Amino acid sequence: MTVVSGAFLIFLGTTLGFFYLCPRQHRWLVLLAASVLFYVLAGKWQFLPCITLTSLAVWVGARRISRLDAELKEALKDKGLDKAAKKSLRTQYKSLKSRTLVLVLVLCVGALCVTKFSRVVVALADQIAAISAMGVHMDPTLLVMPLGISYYTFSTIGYLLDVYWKRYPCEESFPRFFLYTIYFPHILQGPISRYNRLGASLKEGMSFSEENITHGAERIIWGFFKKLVIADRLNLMVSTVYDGKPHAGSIFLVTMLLDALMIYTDFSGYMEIVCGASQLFGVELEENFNHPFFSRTVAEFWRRWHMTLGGWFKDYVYYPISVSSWMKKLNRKNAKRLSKRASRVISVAIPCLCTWFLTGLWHGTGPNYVCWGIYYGVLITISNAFQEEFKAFDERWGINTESRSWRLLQMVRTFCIFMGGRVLTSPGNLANTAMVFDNIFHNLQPWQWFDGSLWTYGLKRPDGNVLILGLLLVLVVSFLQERTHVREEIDRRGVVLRWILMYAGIIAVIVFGVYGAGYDAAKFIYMQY
Amino acid sequence: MDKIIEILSGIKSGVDFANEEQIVTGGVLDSIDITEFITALEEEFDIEIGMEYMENENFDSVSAIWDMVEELQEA
Repeated sequence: MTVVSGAFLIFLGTTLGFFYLCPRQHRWLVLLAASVLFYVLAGKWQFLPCITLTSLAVWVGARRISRLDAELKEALKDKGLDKAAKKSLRTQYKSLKSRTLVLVLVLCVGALCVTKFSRVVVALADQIAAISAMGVHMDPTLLVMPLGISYYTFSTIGYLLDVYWKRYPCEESFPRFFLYTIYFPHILQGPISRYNRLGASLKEGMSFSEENITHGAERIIWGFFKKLVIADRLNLMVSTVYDGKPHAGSIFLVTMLLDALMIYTDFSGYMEIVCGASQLFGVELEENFNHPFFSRTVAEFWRRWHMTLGGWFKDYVYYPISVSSWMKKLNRKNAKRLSKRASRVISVAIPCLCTWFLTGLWHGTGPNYVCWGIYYGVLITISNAFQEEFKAFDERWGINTESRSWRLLQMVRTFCIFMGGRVLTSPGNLANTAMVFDNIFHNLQPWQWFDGSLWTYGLKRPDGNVLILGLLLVLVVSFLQERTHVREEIDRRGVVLRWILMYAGIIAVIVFGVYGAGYDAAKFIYMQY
Repeated sequence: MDKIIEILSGIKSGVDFANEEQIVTGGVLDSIDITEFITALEEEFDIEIGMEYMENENFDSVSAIWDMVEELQEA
């Protein structure tokens, strides 16, 4: 079962019915049962032990860390202890806490790495077997990853580290913690929720609110529109062109553009659906998108795109590296022997490149994903290192950096950089990426844009019209959302307008949604991560 | 507190840090600026800012930063 299916809507309606019929204090149990059922229906029941064990390991680890903190606090109250004894106690407890943390991290990250890298290892073993003519064939695609493992591992690790850093107390009830891990709207593709926000929201006991129901339903319809009408239609051409075969450069250029728009409408469409579904139960999920294509710089883009993943890497990878004792030591050493600027650039580059390298690996284990990560790491480091030169350039040429035209130019530049990043991963491997660029530079054939060839790659002319109108609508809504709260604005204009818009949305999804032969709604792009 | 404002202004000029209440959550400083600020803050006040202090609310205003510095100096 995928979230873009009739089965999901039936599941959602049934869960909603049970949820609001249940007394308020037990509603979380309905969500827990529904989430377990959804997890089994969306994947396989065999995945259930994996997520349960990860949750259990983290829950037990966090409780032990909390208990050690409480014990230390109690022990330090002893007035007979001198400064040295207190220091020794702190060191002793810190070591116990660290050991617990490392053990649980090794278990969880180990499980994630095994599932992520096993395909690479099997593919390598298969190649070795083929070269040495052993007569053994191993198919790496037969290996399956537990559903949502990248997402739930990150959510639970975030919780464990927060408890370790004493940011909030641990959860005493395992079923409650398990609900946070497996909560069905966020389990497959995120958002990667923080325990102090989602856990509290799930605990509060959700009461019925008409606003939550209508706003939730509106978001679900809008998400269906983005996914079924736009993203899946764009996918018709993108999947046809990125088939590993050479095409005219002009066709690749159009596909690069469509691919960037596709991943946005696909992923943000999914987020609209799951955030809307969660809102029906009165539980607010964290936002993952904030109109990223309005970003003026790459760094800003990544603060607006997949925000919960970016936030996770910032808090649990970038900052820990930046403020680690070895990094500070290195910075101090560099400050003495290098210029101020060089020392600053190194202090930014190391955590930035490490973070982006890991972000690349999170998305995929192939060399193309590693290149993708390094691509962004290097770009952000360069933009930071040459800030002064960029500023001097603007002043030298008298550029008004706040003018509308300059801002637009910066947005277009950021979008092109994003398209460049997509070409590293979308065609499947680096050889295909090289082929795409080779055709763009040596086999452009721009007349294919006008002679009708464009419409022979999965999209027909009417599809083009639907796409233009659909994308214009997304653009207009995004503009409005930058300036105002669109749903509240619709509410203010009365029930009639709201119902007209909702029915129009449903009809648009039914009439213009892509449901043709070979259509597979199960394939949300970010599910593969 | 003046010293904190001076360090912040050195990292990003043209911001009224004395009255800014959303230094991090409002995106005035990004993560790269924050790490630079922490290094300067640690040197200036001879403190060590651990991960338990790396929360937005500790860096969102000058008064919040000052509270954190005082707490760390007392520890």
